[in-house]
Amino acid sequence: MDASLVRQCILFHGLSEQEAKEVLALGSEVTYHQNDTLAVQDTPADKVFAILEGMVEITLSARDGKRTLLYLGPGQIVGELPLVDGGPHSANARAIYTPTRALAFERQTLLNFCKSHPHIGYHLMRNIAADLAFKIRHHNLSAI
Amino acid sequence: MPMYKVSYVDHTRPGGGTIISQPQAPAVGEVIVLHGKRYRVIEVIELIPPRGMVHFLHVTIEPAEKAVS
Repeated sequence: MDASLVRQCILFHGLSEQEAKEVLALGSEVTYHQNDTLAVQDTPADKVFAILEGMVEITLSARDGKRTLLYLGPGQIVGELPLVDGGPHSANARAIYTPTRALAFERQTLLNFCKSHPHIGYHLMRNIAADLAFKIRHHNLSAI
Repeated sequence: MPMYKVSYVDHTRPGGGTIISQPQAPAVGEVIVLHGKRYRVIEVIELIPPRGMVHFLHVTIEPAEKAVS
């Protein structure tokens, strides 16, 4: 995989090259076409995604249709909320470009790895927390 | 090599904006393309201090071609 694609993803920030390779080995690369679904709101979540290429639209289902919350491009994480809290997907996620490529990680595999590799796990969890914090700051500034 | 995690917001249109990681920082006045549309960058602020080589920016944009009334 192109190293620049990995470097742009905050999930790998702070990891050595070898550590990043260990984490990469846990995931599988998935290619989506326009309108393919990565996540459905309120359904069980067993994967977290790191977007490598393309764009993902995050929407909320409402009584009057779907409302776009955010677009996430290369380097961003999708599905981090269920990874952390164990709940269902909080929103819908769909690819809006062809191709949209992502690294997909099984939730439980990633959690087990963090437990057995606490140094790497600390960085992964900190990076996920930082990503969530950035999204909250983005949301707050979008609402002004 | 620096990396820029950028939050783009267009206050003239509904929707929650876009977050992208990119190798270069956007500059005020620059025209960028998002979702196939052209936007002009009108403000760039550092949202939080950088972590190593990763910078966190918030960028306000507006449509590059404003409607003529």
